[in-house]
Amino acid sequence: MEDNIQLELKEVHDMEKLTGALESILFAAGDSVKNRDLMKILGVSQTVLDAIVTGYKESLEQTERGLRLLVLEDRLQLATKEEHSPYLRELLGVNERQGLSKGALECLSVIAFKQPVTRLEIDEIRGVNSEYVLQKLTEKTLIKEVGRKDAPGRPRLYGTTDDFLIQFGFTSLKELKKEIKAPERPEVVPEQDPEQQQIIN
Amino acid sequence: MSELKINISNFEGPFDLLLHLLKANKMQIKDIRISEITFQYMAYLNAMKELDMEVASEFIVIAATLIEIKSRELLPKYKEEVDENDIKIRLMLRIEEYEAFKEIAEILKERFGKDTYIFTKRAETIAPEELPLGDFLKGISMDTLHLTYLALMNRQKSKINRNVTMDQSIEAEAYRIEDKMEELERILTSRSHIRFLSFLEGSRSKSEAIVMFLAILEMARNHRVRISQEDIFSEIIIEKGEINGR
Repeated sequence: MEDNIQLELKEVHDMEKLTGALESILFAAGDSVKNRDLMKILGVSQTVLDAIVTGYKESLEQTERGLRLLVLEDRLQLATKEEHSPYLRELLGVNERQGLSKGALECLSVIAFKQPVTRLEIDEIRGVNSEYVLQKLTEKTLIKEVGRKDAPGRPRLYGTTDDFLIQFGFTSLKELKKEIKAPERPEVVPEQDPEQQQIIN
Repeated sequence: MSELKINISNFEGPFDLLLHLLKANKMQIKDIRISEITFQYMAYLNAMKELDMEVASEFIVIAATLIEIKSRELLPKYKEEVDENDIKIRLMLRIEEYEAFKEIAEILKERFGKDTYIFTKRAETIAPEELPLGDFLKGISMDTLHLTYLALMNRQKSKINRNVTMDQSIEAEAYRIEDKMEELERILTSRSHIRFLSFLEGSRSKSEAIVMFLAILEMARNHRVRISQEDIFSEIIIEKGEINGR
């Protein structure tokens, strides 16, 4: 009986230590860190890591802490809480973020679901030239070049970034695809054309 | 045809316009009546032109597609011809795909946090430790260093081009167009006309012939000489032109 309590206490102590270690690592890293790497550095299995992460994430959310834990695909990253953004904007002298244009949102939609995708493929779907919009989106770090297509001219391939996920409130592309239905290519059966009888003006 | 209220709004592209027209006509994409839509589409483009708005080429490409579908529907069908339905179906599929992404764009718009900003930190930069020189040159003798240096310098030297095959000087032109033009004028004051061939025959070199040719062209341009030819491949005659131009 004593042993069990001792074991539990030790486990809790270990958990606390590991959580602290996780926090230090994520702080120093700044950028996102892969789960894989965290498991290696902390010397723990996926299950243990998941437990640590869940506990840490909750503790950050529930208290008045200023940080939150971002879970992006298979990576973790520390970020500030949204409610404090006015202070941070003041500190960093940053203005309110400008809204995105209709065209920009259209491009993002296409890229989000079809990535990796070339500018030409995007143009085909939208029916317009997207060069300028893609440039702007890259500047805003919402999309990035993810490679080149093995085709004449070796055109750039575009994909969404972590920033895109963060700014639109998704934790992963998988979550995005679950929330928003992917567009399918439907089979179109054209109705019998009544115009074939009419005389067209 | 019912009165069309043309609202010149900003459309993202031809598909955007088509969707708008479909909605205004309460048409589903699969029931699209090409004739009506084409008419309204063209009316829109014309209105844009009247307002001096630039019509992007993409709009015109789709206009051509619509007109093609419409005209194929009017003509009697021949068996060998490309199935008009193919073009129509392809257009309909493209409009549908665009519509799907347009809807997704709307959803994303809702989600975009304009007022909020979360910040992440940049990675810590950890300056690499300076390697002590002793470790850096470990196991390397003076001899090796010397040989490496020699090899490097030789490589560089071999890259220098010592054969300068280009001429260091530029030749002065043996013949100048202005001189040839004066010569031609002098000739034409004493004679009424001259055969072009006689210049070619009298030239001492190819350069001279070419410069004379250029002089003739220049003077012809200024109407100082007239060039004529009776038949194809017959003699080319050069005469004095009107001095003050025609």
